[in-house]
Amino acid sequence: MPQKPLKSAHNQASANRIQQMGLILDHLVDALGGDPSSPLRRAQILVDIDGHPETTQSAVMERLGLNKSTINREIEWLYDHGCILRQPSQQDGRVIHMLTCGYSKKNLDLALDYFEKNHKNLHFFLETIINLFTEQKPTLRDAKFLVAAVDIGEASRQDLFARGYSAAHTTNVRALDSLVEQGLLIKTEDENG
Amino acid sequence: MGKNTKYIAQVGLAEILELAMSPSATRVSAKRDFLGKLPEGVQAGLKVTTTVAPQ
Repeated sequence: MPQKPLKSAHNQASANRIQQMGLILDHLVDALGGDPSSPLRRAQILVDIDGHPETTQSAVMERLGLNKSTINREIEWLYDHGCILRQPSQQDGRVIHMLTCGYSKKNLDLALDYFEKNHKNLHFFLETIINLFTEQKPTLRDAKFLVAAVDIGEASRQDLFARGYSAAHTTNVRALDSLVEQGLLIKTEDENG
Repeated sequence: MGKNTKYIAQVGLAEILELAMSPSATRVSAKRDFLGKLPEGVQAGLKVTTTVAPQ
């Protein structure tokens, strides 16, 4: 009997779009070395490189409208964590081409399954989420809490922590508090007899 | 008696997230502007602007 593709398994497991978003974020975390503290912008850079094989740092910077220091930092991180390869150009050794590779490419492909393999749509998805935040560097962890809160409706802290990524308690508390401060989540308190 | 803390997504957030997954024909830009004056007790929400991408 043929094995059911992972995509189908995921799609079946997720009943609605919001739940699918949670799975997409999971794939992006996996594509970024399993680090949910990764900024959403880092994921966007990885998606851009994947969508433009053999691209250069300056081309990514231009397409995403990011400053040089951010791009330098994030590309170093991606290279150090084995997400991308860097290859000198055969025509001009000063030019470095970049490619996604290994586990990053594999997990990005799984995320792209939800966007008909269209990098622009995945880019748009990330851009929309980034624009919701007022803070400078929203992370995949922050996004996952938002998605969980929308899906659950009225969630306790424990509900959200259970849906979020494994982290120190203080890290999760700080992330939730920040979402409340930014006006994305509303905190309510009832007397509990 | 203890306090039972709950978290609720801001008004408009679900709509924005849904649209973030939409095909390229429909685009949404999420603004942080508060909606106009709302009845007392109703939380202000996020403004959702939908635009159609050029063909």
